[in-house]
Amino acid sequence: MNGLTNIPALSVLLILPIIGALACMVWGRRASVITVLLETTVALLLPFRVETTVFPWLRFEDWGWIERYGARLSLGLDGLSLLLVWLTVILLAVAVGLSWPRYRQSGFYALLLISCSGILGVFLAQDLLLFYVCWEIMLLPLILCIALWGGAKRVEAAFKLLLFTLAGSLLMLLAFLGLFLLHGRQTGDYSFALQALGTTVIPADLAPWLFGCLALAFLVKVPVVPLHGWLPDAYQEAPAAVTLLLSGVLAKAGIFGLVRVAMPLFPETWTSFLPVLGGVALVSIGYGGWLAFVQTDLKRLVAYVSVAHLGFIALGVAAFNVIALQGAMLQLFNHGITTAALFALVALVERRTGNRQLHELGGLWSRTPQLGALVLFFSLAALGLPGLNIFTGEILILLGAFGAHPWWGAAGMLGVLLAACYTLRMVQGVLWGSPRGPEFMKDITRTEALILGPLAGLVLWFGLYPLPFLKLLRGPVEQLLAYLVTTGGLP
Amino acid sequence: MIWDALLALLPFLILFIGSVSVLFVPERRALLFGVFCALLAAGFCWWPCAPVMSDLLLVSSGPFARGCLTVWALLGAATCLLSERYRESRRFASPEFAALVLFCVLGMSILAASTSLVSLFLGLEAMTLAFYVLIAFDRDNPTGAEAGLKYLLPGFLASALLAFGIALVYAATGTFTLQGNVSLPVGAAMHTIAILGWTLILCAIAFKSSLAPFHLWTPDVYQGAPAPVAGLLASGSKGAVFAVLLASIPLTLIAPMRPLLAALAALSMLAGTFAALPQTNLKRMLAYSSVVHMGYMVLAVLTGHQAGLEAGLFYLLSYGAATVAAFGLLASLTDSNGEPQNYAALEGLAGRSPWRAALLTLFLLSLAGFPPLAGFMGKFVLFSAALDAGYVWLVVLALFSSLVSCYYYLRPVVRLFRPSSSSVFSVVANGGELVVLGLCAIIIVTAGMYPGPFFRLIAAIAP
Repeated sequence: MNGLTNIPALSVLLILPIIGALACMVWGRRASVITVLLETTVALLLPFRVETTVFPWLRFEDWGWIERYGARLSLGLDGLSLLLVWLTVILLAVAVGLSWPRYRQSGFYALLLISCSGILGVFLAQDLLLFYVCWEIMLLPLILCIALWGGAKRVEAAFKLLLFTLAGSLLMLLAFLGLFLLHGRQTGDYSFALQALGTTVIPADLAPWLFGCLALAFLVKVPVVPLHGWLPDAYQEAPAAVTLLLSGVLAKAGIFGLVRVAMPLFPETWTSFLPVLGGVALVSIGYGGWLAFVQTDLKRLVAYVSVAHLGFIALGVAAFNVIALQGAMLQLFNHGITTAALFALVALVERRTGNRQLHELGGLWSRTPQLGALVLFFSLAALGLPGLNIFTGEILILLGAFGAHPWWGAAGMLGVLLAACYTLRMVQGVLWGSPRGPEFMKDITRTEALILGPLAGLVLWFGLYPLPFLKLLRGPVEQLLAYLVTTGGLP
Repeated sequence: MIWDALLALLPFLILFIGSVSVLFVPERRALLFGVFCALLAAGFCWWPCAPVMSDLLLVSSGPFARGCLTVWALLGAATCLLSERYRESRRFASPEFAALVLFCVLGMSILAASTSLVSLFLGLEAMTLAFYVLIAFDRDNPTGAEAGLKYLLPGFLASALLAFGIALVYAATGTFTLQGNVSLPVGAAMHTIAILGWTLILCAIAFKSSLAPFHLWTPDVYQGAPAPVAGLLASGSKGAVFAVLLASIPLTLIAPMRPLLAALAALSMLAGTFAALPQTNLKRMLAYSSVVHMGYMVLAVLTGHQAGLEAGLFYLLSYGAATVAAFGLLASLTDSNGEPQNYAALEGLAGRSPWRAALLTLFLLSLAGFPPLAGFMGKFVLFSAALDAGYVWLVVLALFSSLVSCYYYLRPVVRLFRPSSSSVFSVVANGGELVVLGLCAIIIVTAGMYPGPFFRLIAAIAP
């Protein structure tokens, strides 16, 4: 065991999917399953270690990269990133499992694996250049997947997504470069290390611009409402596995970036940005919920449900106190699991009925009771039924929001009400009513049960006993708050 | 003394003698002989030689000139390797082709090593002269002749401008050496006539490196020229011009030239970007996008100093590798019906030769600047250097144009992977092509993921 914990697990975690992708190209798609299994093993072993090297981190690894520009391959793992790494690996497994009967080309799996490597890099990187590189790597393979394997309007959807997110990330690059040069001029130490750049003194007239660039980049990825133009088309046209990763993990990367990159770099601007974020979050909750309510396409409906839920997470971040932040961070994981399960179910329903329109569906409960039960279960989780995972996060976020601004909490509560409306409409359209679609439908198969079963287990676990995970998150959250207080952002 | 001078000139002599003697080599061996000569010249670059008075030779034998010569010779060798099968399918005479390529490399080497305005003119003309013929080399291709003519006429105009500019500079300063012409005593203003001369020289250089608004010949010439030649034209000739601009004529030191350079950069980025958007022909798209890339290079020239020089050279490396490889890949798909230039003709490539489709994707993505490929690292170092030098708006413009560039670079990529049965090309790439494409791919991936060694190499040869 000792020998195992001494290997550079984080680097292995990053490199493994890339090797897996190459193996896929040479050896066929079987390699992807092996990679996923190995990756899961490494991810599960992450919290076990012998000694801590650098204080806040569970694990920290640092390699030389580009000396000329002071960029290093430094990877840090704490409670928050551990949770998100687990989420990524779980959803990767779900994505591969879900695509297995549908897509035979090994290129598809190779692209999924490469994207996964980028996502993990984003959650672990402690160096801004590495962060940026991973940020791009996580997106491009998924865009290629959409453009090559998507629905009828796939190319348009892919390009829309590409232009939206790339515009954001180029702004991010500009902000990083600006910071890098400012820091270098002030201290003479040209470095991309996140920790070093946090100490940069940023001129007051420049800070809002740089921060604005970063915030735009992250909010486009989430997306919050005025920046969500790419979302409906991309989610609708993408293969189920890609939709699942986009909504389950990439959206989280946006929030994660706000909290872990934008906040430490611009603590002063951050506090004045919080009300804006709160407003945007409330708009997202309301507008997303309303749009979800009027959709007729099942996949679009789930997509807007996801927007509304991400609005809640953003609200928790905007409240920025211990309870709300803990809730928001926990909700990152919860929402990932639930939304992935919902998108997977949409794909399963579509494979059986050949249809996604609500008015063409119905009566699934009587035809395929097990599938119907799963749809009901995850829909209730999305609705925020106490005892299931979304509730845990939402209640913490709303409590925190009440603490920060009572009317934020009140408006958020209305969002919960709206959630009940659209979820029940979805359940009603899919499960009840007179049976439609083909006469004979297979109920859930063993493979599908194997994919969705663990997700259901996680939903229950996080709903009933979230304490271990909240403990995991307490350290990072308190550190974030302490950071803001010590750097003079908060009173 | 004579011996030292000969030793200093040895690589140039090898190229020259090679380009003459290849004419007497049998048809089948000629291109391989050309490759051999180019590699020999590249190898002898690093033969230690005593420093020689450079005024005497007009070319320097410093590490920078040697480094450039190595790269151009390798490019020439790559061009010959890529032309082997292309020549067979298009049936043209290989000894002459190899001789012209070597001569062209000689011109580029003289240009990059020039220490005086005379050798600058000589190098540029030697290179261009070879290109006039090379572009129109494929006699069966009617667009080839058109392309040759379209390169010839602006080329003459550019030569005239260059000669006149050199005359004016000489009239103002009384010396041909670059060192004496550019560097001024502190506080002294440059003579107006010299500034006029430099402006004319800059115009000529803008013609050669296809900067907007002097870029109009580019798409037609790229389209008509044989693919390997277009690759050499896009990477080598532009690279040589920019190498001399970066290292030997730091134009940005001359204050009145700065707005001119900035305008050239901005115009190139904008014009190239918007013209590349609607293209449906891979070569024309690459032509317009190269205008944008040259706009970025002007940014490096503007930045000046050590930082601009190193960033510019690294960018040239990443751009050159991807460009040569993209054109080489097109050459490897050529059969007796011609090159599959249109996106429609490339459709479904992934189904027939998945590796080449993956490689072309890699090259185009690198040109678009996606991490972790060399193109991204190049843009990163270039833009950070320019930002450091204070050209914020130009960098914002460059970021905008690289955002749009993703659209036109990804359009052909999507077509590659679309299943189709319309055009069937069953051309198998030969060994030489695979070597070149593989090497380029390795350079692109390594320079993107772990660029440290490349930076050290560039810092070592930078003057």
